[in-house]
Amino acid sequence: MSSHYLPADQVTVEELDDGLCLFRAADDEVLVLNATAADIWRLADGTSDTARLCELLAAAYGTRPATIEADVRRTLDELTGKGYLRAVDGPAG
Amino acid sequence: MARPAEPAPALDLLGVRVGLAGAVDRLRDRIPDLLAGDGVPATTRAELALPADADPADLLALLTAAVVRHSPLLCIHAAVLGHGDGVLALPGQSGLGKSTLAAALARHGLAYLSDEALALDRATGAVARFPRPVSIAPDVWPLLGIEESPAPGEAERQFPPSRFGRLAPVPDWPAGAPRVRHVVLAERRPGPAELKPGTEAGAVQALLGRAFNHFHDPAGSLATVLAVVRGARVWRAGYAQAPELAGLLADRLG
Repeated sequence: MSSHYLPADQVTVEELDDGLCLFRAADDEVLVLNATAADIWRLADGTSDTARLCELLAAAYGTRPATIEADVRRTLDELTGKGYLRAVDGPAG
Repeated sequence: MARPAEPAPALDLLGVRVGLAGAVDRLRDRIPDLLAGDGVPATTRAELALPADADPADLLALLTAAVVRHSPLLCIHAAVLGHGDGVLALPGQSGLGKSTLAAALARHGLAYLSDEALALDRATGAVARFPRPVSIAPDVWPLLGIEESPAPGEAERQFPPSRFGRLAPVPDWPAGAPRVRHVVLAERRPGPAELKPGTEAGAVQALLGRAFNHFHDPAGSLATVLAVVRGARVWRAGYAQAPELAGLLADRLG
């Protein structure tokens, strides 16, 4: 089943003109996202699964979901692995 | 009757009172521009033992490391030049050519603050000067108008920053100190020098990634860097020769 993603607890988000800056207070870690990764982050609000995220991003970028799927999954995995996102099995209420 | 012991020599740099022991005179002789002060009141203290047999460059490196680690200011590895009423910051790792760029920019009339540390007041973003001697390799000397010949085997020589141009004045701290107006993310690569708009994300990453002492207050350091970046213009620069980029920066940002 395709996962849904939510921001992890205690992550502060700072908007930049071309990306995002994430700060995790629990361990004082900072991660700067470029514009594309920032778009993925903003869509990871628990309402869309990975396939839907790819559809939304592909529509925004004027491309096909299959073209960007690998990059989207890699970014989601990285953000999850570093503790900025958490995966949940179903849509967040 | 025994004379009272003389107090240990100390230097006030970037808000740190550095107590010195050991080869103090050999260090003092090398840092006339630093000894002129920076206007930042000392609020922390560090002790530094200077080995008698150390090379003067190593003594300076020890002093620099102690200051940027203990400073209450947020210190970031960068060259810093005064530009109008503001500051141009070029963050970068060792080997980028910051010292040569700083000297070249000073020759173009920008006021010298540092080839090593962007020192920011965490609350206001005021920038302090840190005009330590500039280490320049002999192959670059002709590009900077240095006409001396190197000694056999000489890898680098330290020059006082005032040799290349004017120093930024000691400010009334922090109200009278300059703020960062430009952040230049420079990259060495073949070809002519060029300057393009950069990104805030790139600047935040570069500045935080080069911070010496952000661990004192990680959240506050991020806030300081964000404020600096949001208040500045960000540029990406590519260059092969520092004097060429210095000329481009002086022309474009002037």
